[in-house]
Amino acid sequence: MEVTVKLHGDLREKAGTDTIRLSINEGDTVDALLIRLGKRHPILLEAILDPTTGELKPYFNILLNGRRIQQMRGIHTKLKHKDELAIFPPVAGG
Amino acid sequence: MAITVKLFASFREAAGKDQVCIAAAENVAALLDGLTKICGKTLAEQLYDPSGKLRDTVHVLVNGRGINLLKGLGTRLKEGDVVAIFPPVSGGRRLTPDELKRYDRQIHIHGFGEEGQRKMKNAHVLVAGLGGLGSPASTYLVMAGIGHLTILDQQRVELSNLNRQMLHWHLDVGRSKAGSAIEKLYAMNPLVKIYSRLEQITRENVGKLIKGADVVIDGMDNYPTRFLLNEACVRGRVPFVHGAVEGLVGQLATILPGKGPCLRCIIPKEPPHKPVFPVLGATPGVIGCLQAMEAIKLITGVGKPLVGQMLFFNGGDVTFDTIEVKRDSKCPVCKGV
Repeated sequence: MEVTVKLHGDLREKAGTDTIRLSINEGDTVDALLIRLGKRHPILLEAILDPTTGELKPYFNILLNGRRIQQMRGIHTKLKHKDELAIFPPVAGG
Repeated sequence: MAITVKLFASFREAAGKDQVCIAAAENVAALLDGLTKICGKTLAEQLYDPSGKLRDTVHVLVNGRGINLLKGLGTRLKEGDVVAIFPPVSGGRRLTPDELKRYDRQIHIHGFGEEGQRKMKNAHVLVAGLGGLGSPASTYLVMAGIGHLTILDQQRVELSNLNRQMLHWHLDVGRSKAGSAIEKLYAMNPLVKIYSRLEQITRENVGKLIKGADVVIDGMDNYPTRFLLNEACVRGRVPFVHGAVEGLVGQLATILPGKGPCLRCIIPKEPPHKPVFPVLGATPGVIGCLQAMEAIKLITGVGKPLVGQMLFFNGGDVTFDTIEVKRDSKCPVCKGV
């Protein structure tokens, strides 16, 4: 089973790539995927997680097939084959 | 008793007066002839085309009736008649020959046509913020012939704005952004009605500010105000075109209340406020142009607006990615809309 992670904003520069494909196991959740992602690109986890609490930064958007994971079961949301995860830090300037 | 001629709008400025009495004239043609002799060349140029023919955009009324319904230029006049002369008024349903020529290239776009241009003429857009995004967005709306544009910004032009806020120029530093912008926009296209407001958007006034707008464009530089606009637009069912930029990266989404996610569904929490954010002028140039395009699409019905999707533009690797974004059924702003 495989999922695709698409990076947006400055994450792309940090990771040096825009698309990462990761294999997952049956029943894997978003947090397991993030740990696997962090092993490959530690700088990404640093960007996504709040260093004091270790939790996801609340303004950081992770969308699973277009829906924010917070609208589902957060980092405990289960993944399935061919899922697409988009990660973006919203920009603010105008 | 002579014949009274009443002049309106730009004809008043051209003549330098709003009313003229003409001792006698056999018909309308003779009256206009006498009028231009008294009032001078500027008025004559506005009334007649270079071949000497009365421009068909000039409206002439004799005692309240259009001369087209009477005998045209040959309509006879008598003492005590009142003749009113006024120029074409923007915002009406019909397009003037000048407008047809000015917008000719876009009228030829498949699906746009004169009907699309008339819709543009009757539409009202609010551009909130006249910075990096609001400058190109209002520029392209004005050039495309939006009927009414309201521009809103409470700030003054600073030197550090000039790398990206293209409506504000070197000598404008210190002026209000609203004043600086309206001057340039009018010079680009005097057919557009533009209102400028020097106001800060607050929870109290936001509903009133968006009232009457067919589309609202997000030219803000912070999320608290964006969220206020988003909420007011959802409540008033007004389409809202969101844009934001930083560095070489920008994002765009069109919020159609009730039809797709609102800004809060997509971005529920504001990112930490940065008092100074890095940005290259061309980045809001790209996103601001796209915001104008989204507004024009919504007004004319041409194309498909970016609803239920978010565009990420990355100038670093020159990519445009759209991702699907869905409504949050528990969204505190648009739930139940």
